[in-house]
Amino acid sequence: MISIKVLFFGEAFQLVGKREESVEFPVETDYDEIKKTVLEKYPSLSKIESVMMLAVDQEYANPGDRFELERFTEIAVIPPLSGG
Amino acid sequence: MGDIGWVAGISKKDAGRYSRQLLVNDFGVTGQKNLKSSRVLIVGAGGLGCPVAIYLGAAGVGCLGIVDYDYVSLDNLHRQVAYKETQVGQSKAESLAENIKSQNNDVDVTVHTVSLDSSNAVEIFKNYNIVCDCTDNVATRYLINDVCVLLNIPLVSGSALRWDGQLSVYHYGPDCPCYRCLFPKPPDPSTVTNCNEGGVLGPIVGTIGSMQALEVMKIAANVTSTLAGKLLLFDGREGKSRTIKLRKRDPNCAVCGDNPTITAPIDYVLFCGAGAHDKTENLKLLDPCDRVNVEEYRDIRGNQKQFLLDTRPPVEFEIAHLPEAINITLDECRSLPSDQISSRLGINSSVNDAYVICHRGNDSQRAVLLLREKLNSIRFRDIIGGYEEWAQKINDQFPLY
Repeated sequence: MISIKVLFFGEAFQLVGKREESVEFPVETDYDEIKKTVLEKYPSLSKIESVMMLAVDQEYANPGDRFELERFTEIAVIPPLSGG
Repeated sequence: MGDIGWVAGISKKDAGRYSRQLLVNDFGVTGQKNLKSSRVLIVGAGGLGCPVAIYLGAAGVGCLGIVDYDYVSLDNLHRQVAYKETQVGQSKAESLAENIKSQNNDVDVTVHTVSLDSSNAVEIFKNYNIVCDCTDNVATRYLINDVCVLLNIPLVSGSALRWDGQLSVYHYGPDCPCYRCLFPKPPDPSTVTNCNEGGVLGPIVGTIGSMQALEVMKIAANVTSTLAGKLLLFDGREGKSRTIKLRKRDPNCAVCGDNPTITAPIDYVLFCGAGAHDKTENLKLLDPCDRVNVEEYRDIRGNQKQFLLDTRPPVEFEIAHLPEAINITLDECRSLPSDQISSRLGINSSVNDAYVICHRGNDSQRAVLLLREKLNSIRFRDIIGGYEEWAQKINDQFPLY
């Protein structure tokens, strides 16, 4: 397992109450496992589950993508923002 | 050679007016001429639309269209900085057009004072070659996206709330995704916060709107490093921005995919389950017997001091509240155990009635549903229309926000 910084943007920040937090992930993982781990740790995010993007190291993560996480990898939870 | 001839890339008038941007590498005369021949549509003349319109007008865009059905209100002015106090109550689109013309009379401005919907969007959009999404609601964002894809127009999309902003360019180039490629399903309306509820700071919309204007200038000038295929996330509170590389166009996308199922605008209010505006809906979650109107509450509290629970966030409670109100937020109603709620309210076992108030009368109903479960010996009733109704009907000195 490896401790990885997870960032919460917009509504995700509102739901989690933190801008960022370290979360344990397996070193070799994939999109589904990252999403499942994040939702288990932060159940309040289930409200935005269908619209939240995940980005790994500032790159959009697609379902099915595989990742080898490293010490400075950053995972971001990004729901759409609609105000203006 | 005589001394009265020259080769000009641009008119003397334009060279003088736009000289400082003509001097910028990669923009130059070509960028200026392209900008002058561009027709840019700005949908939404609010916090984002104001800087987009003013910067593009000043930069010398040829034709600007502005879509907005709304009127300027006093609580717009802190962020919608193009408007003057004298324009409160007037059409936003017309006021903005007036202000652009007074800044740069060479810009051709067209005003569309309509509520954009599936019936009129194609007719309006087809006259433009770049569109800016400066709107405030999810339904209109999908509508704008779909119409841009259908008419093959690049979309410069900005959004902002509280301390945060997002910015991207959609449907610009063969690999570039559209909004639907990223968000094929609309969000649950209960998870969407608008600026009316969440608030927003002027410089946040100002930053994002200014960057939208910049993206338009880059597209017009054929500068290749646009935000197409990227999403810029701006966190004004931390002073940080991040640019996320987005996915490529989704070949299965309902509108820009290889076999699209959306070939004309759909019903976006139905699709999103939310209206095409940022106004707060009036919920009806409680039976009428579990609610009191503001006149009734005025009479009840006149007879005897009441227990009043105020569910608003502390920032709103701080603006103004009734003297008997105790601030226990909706989240706290959800998370706190019943004994803590009753001790904060200061109620004991002899109390039978308590009232719940919020800003507009939606959260107060949600709170009554929660409180009923936790403190079932007390009859909780909410105040219909909340403080907004109180200010309108009982005490017009109460600060509205």
